[in-house]
Amino acid sequence: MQAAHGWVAAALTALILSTGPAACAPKRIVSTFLCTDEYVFRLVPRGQIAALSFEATDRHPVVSTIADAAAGIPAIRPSAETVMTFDPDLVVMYAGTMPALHAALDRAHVPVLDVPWANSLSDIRRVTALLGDKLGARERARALLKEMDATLARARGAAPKPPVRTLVYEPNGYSATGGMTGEIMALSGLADMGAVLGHTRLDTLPIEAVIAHPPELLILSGDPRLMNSRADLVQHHPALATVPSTVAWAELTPLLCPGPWSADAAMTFTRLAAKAVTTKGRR
Amino acid sequence: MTRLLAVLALLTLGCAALSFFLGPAHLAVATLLQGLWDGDGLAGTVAREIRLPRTGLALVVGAALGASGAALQGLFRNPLASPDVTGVTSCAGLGAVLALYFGFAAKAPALLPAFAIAGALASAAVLFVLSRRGAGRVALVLAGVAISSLAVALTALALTFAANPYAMSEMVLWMMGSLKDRTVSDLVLATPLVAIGIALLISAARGLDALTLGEEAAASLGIGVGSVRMRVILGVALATGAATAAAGAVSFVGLVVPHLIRPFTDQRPSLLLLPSALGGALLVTASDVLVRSIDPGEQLRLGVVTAMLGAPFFFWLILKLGRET
Repeated sequence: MQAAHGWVAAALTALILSTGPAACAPKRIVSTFLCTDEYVFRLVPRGQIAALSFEATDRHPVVSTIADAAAGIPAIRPSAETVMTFDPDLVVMYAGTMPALHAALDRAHVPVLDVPWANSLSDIRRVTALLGDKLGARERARALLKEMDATLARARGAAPKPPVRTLVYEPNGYSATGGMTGEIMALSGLADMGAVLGHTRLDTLPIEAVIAHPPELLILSGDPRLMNSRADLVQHHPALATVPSTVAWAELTPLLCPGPWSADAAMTFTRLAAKAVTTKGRR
Repeated sequence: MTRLLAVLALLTLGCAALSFFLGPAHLAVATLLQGLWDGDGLAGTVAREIRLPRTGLALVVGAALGASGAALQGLFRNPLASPDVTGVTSCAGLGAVLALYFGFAAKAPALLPAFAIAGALASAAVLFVLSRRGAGRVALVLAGVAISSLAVALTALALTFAANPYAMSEMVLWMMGSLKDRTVSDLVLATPLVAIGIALLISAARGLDALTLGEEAAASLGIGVGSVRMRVILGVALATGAATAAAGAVSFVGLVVPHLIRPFTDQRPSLLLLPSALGGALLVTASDVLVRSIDPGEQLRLGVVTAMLGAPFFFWLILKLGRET
């Protein structure tokens, strides 16, 4: 009788495990967008990824934080035909991107997961938890968030007080303002000058405005070696060399797509903030 | 003639001053002039590194396009000819795109205008051959449309393969033109090339007058017709190429300006060159002031304004020519 109970218990346990997140987890995932690539690659074992978008491993230029690590995974320029070639059991798309592809996959009854855009750290927590559930990777999602919180806590601890007035100046004269980037800047001890200048994420900030209202720290986001577009040349404008600020180049790729990895930018920010404080002290 | 030049020079100067004194730093006129003089502090940087190259390039680019338009209309004896309608500007843009996005310009900045001039020269040469083979007014314009379409397609192809995330988004720059965030180096590179180009066009002025009588009559007057053609084509390629490398394709200036100026002259092409250069400078500078006044964030492109002025004019011109024939 006891042996029978044992068998029933074992069968029930097996049933519960088999209907849990891991057992339901998709096995042939295709991701169609850089920001979903970053999530899928970090949450799911490599063997369950059928393909990522070409941007994940693109080296000309590098726009992803997984360019090296994801090498070898099939990279696609997403179209209905290329995606369906992989016979995916789940296609992960960023909500609002590639509507024609989405419609084609819907017509073909291919399951699609729309990942909502994250614009704050709390959005990141929500989206990461959602993906953990849907991809059968709850534990991994929790671990990513734990790692993010630890990085952010370290940045908070190292943040200078009072905050350093900072402008993150991107190619083309765009400037990071508000949202997740603003939150990470704030907790890293940087006061965003873009917001102070009344600048929005959609406008470009003329060089003249930058030098008329010089920040304490001017972060030029990108690769200083790149000078092969008008967008890049803006950051090399000789007028920027005259600003009485601490000027530093920084690769802010982790901020390109919002996710737990974006916290890595906080460490870059605190390092540059410390540099600005030291330079100011010397002046 | 002198009066026309004086009026145009005064208007251009006024517009250039407006362009120089306009900007987000909101500096007083006296402060800016002091900054331009001594180069010190914020006013010095704004005046010398930002406003001066921008205003200077607006004048240089406009002069290049205005003079080139007048010379092409004289050479082809075609009122529809201009650097943009004939595809010269698009080919110059293609050259500039190849130089900039494939790293040549980063190695040597002079390669940017050099490639643009080569592109302009190629398209002008094709038009020249076509005109020699007796292509009429409409055929030349159609050839220009074909050259322009091909150049725009090749530009898009080149930008697709460029290893730069901003390449495709900058397509609009090369199609619509902009003077935003240009440097003194851009001005220094463009100015002598445009000056040599315009000088070549002026050196061909007498020949252009003679060509209005036809090639045989011109030759009988002792004019070296081949030399005139060569100087005009080289001059247009140099001026338009250098202007396009600096500002992208600013459309319709070369078409509109000579037509606006012509009624104030005795219709001789030689008398149209210098006033068209001044008129072009005036139009581009005024358009740039308008762009910055409407949209201080400058998402609006210079070529949008010139096209909005120029396209209706182009339609009017076609209707007028239709009535005349």
